[in-house]
Amino acid sequence: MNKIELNGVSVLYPVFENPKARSLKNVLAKRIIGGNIYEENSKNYIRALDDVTLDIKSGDRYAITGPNGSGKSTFLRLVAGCMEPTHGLINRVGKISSLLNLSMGLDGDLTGLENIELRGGLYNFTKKEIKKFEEDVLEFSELEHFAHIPVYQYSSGMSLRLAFGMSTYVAPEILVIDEIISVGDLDFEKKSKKRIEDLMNRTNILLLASHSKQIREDYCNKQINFNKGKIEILKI
Amino acid sequence: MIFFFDFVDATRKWRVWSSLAKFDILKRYKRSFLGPWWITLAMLFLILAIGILYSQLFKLDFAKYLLYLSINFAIWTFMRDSILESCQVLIDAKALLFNEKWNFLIFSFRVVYKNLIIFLHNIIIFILLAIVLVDELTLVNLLISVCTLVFLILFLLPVCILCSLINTRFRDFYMIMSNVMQLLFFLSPILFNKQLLESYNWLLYINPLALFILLINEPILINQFHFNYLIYLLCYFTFFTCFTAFLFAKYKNKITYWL
Repeated sequence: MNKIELNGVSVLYPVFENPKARSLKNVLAKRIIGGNIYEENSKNYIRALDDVTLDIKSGDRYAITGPNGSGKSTFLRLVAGCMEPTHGLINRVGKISSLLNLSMGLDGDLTGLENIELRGGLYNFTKKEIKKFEEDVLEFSELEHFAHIPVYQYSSGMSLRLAFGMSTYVAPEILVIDEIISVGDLDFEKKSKKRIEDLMNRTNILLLASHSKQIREDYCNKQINFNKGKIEILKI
Repeated sequence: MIFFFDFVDATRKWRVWSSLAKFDILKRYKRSFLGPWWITLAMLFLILAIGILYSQLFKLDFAKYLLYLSINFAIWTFMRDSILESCQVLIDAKALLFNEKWNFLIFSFRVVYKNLIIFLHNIIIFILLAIVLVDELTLVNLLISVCTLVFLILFLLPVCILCSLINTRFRDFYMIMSNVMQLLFFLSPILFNKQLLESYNWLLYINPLALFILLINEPILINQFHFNYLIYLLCYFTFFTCFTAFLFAKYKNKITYWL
């Protein structure tokens, strides 16, 4: 049974660059962006998440919404396991995969094929699995003829196809997505939409940050709205 | 304990750090004609230049001195580059670290493995010279040197992890370390013979890197093995491992906040 439990979770980012909290920049920043700049023991922090308690169970499909700086990305990173909270507890059960940054590890100097091999290595694949991975990604992204060309010479659409193909290969139990649903031109958009729908259908828990109402309604059954690090559960 | 669990886990994920290291090197020498053989060639030029000059300054036999330099420089480069590169390794991997859950130790393994590959390119010069110049080499002596090399790799891992931890939090550390390494280069018996130290012999014992150089090259070159060097190194190793394990367990969850 896959689940994610957050119990009184807060995240405070330390601010290293600016030891004096009372600069004009900080006062303005506090008014304009959502996050709270906060002082404790004369150190500066940004409070990105504020006492969040939440139970996510198998079958839940959450849409994540909220203005910039309200804690969405921090929440997704936390769930994905990139970081641990500064206060409170988080318990994750299940194999998690995240599409937070699509071009993760995509290296412009390496060829398409080398990039796939490197990513396969990062997934801890065996030689055989890497071979299969290469075939699948090249076929999906329709880049067979460009496999031996360095990625910096790809068009931006081509490198997105490659990155998308690699990132959507492994089907996890818990899937965390930050605002990416489809890439490429019209034909490819259909294909990539189908691939990500397949992926979402195979996962038990989906967390999807998106500003598009259509996407939220299509894929999600619950909504978490973030506001200055606090959450509010809404129905879709 | 957290440190040892993560250490074992990182060892198991050898495919991850070995592919990272492999592509680090491939990328560096892309589109060059000689590729990674530039490593070997660059080292050859360096020791030839130093060898010609210093063998005259110190009035030494040129061929023997070249042999001495070739092994010392290979080991020294391996140690120095592993330590200095590991300082930046987590900071450079920010994009990866912010995307999914990682075992942080993998990145130190990557640095050490990458520099081990470079070392293997560099040591070729020594092996070729040794075939011509070393008259008698027993299998036991060769084994001792190889085992010490394995110990050096084990020693570098906690040291590199420690450096990556400290430098991620305190960015001045890299600058300090690059100066320290430069100083250690001149204090270590790399260019000169350790006998010249005479009453400054204690300098060897406060410098584990120098002890490693001696412990690897002496069995092959002068048929000697100093057991007390090994004891000192084991003490350093225990200290660094415990200290790293302590810091890692304490600050592991804070690393992403420092990036």
